[in-house]
Amino acid sequence: MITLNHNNFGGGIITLNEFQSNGFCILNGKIVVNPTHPDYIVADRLELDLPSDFLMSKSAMSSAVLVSNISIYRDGTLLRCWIEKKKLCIEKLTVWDSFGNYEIYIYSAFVERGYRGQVIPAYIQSVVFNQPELFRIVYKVYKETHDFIFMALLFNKKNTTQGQGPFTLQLTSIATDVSIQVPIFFDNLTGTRRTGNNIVIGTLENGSLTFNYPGDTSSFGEIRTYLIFYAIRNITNVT
Amino acid sequence: MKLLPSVAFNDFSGSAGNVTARKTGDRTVLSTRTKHSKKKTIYQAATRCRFADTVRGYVDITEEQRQGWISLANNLGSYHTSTGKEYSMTGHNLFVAINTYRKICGKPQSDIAPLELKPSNYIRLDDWWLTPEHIVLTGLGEKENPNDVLYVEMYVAQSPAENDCWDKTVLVAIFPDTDWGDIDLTSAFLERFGTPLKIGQKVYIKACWVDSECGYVKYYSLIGHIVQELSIEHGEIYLPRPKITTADLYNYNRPFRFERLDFEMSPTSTNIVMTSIDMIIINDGSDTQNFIMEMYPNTIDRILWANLWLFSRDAADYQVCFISISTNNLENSKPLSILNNTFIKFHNRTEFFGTYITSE
Repeated sequence: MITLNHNNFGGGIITLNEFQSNGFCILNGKIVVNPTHPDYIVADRLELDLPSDFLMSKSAMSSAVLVSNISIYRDGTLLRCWIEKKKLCIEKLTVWDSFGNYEIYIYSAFVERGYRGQVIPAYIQSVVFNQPELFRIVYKVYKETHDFIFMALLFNKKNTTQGQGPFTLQLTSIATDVSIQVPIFFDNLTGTRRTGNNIVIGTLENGSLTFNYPGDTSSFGEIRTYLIFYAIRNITNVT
Repeated sequence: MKLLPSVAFNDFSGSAGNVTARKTGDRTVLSTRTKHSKKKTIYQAATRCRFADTVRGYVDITEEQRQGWISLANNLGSYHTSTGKEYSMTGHNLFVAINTYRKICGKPQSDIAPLELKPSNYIRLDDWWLTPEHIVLTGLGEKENPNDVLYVEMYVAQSPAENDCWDKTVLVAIFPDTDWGDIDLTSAFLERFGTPLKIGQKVYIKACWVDSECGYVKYYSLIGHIVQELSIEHGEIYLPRPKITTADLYNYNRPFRFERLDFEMSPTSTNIVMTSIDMIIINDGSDTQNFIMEMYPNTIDRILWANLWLFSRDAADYQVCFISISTNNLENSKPLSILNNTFIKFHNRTEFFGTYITSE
């Protein structure tokens, strides 16, 4: 766990869970942003000072997820996020500022380019997901190391699956020592243009992903739901 | 050069024919007159022109400006050249030295003496390759001063018996910055010396970070080694950093193009690698679910992965899609496919960024 004492947007003291190795690190956590704070208003981008002993001073481009405070579905999008001069930098997007405080979820990896050692630990394994009645898994990638997991998952809600949930997706054989709250994007068959995506916050715990469709998706038909994240093992990341 | 207690040259200084005499203490030193070599390479011509222009420049500056250089030289005391020699400095010498390096760094002549001289800095190095195919320095880190450029001189010994050749190095390249700590000297070396290195040759490299505005080369790292197949520090085989750039792709007449393409994988021998992406595709045609383009055949050799799963973001409405990027290595076709797996279509401008793990 690292504590970020200073930032340029009035965000107070922020703690993030971290895994660090040579040329590579993972950050997990949530940042609350108050768009009415004077410091935020004048900031061009969000900057958080990393601890002086943080190994990485500069990273390639990574990402974070902005989750707004809009009711029912918390619309949001992807943000650019990177490390520069020992600062965690996040793109500032003001699209949802008028809806009050928003959250930024960071479940991301950061790499230094040109690092020629072993970036990912040699031990890595893939597992198979089961396919429960409610959902059909379309694409899945799962990588597990001693220290973290990486998951990219796209699944469809079946037409027969109605209501708000909560729904639970049992993910067989994944690490059970990961406990996180992670943003999940979804959209529907119509592919309607809108600003950002519908987002819900899911909980991954003991190998099960649980989430709601709070707006009742019965009329949506086959919803495509997707998430990508890196999660550090053995630690509860967001409380 | 000879010390000559000659009657003929007592109290004489100057040149006569090919002989130059100068007084040192109570002695007269005779030397043959310095002539530049008859070799006429582009580099030598450029160096001579640069030097001659700079020398002439001192004549053209005002007396006040000259006094500034003289004052700075007096405060400086001795001066180290890039060949490692120490000289007492005159205003004229300092003007020529500083402006010579400024010109090498692409800066115009400075008539006014700087308020202070920022000396060059040593480089740090994690590993380096001196092979017939690659001359690469890695782990140089980030420059501390925005004005710094990396100044590199090299020399290849002509025989195994030729030693201590630090005063024979010549400028190979100036780099405004490193590529994430890497410097690839291969093409600059070939351009400068014409032939690739051979196993067993002895190579001398002199390198430093020099402030391009100041042009004061004082401290520099001296690194030398025998050419070998493995890296000098860690004994590793050279692995290029796998990247895709716009030069690797051709689109035929497809209605889309890259506004930005920054795609790189970690150099490792495994097939599961970290990949960082920062690219923008402009779509001039109708909305689409995929972008498919061809890579040039040699690109595929550098690309180890088959599939990559990531997000994209529409630049206008910020809609996020679940994307797969894949490569294929067919006999007559090397497609790079970017497929949108959601029901949202790609519009005019789509951004792809993040750090992901490739999948077999």
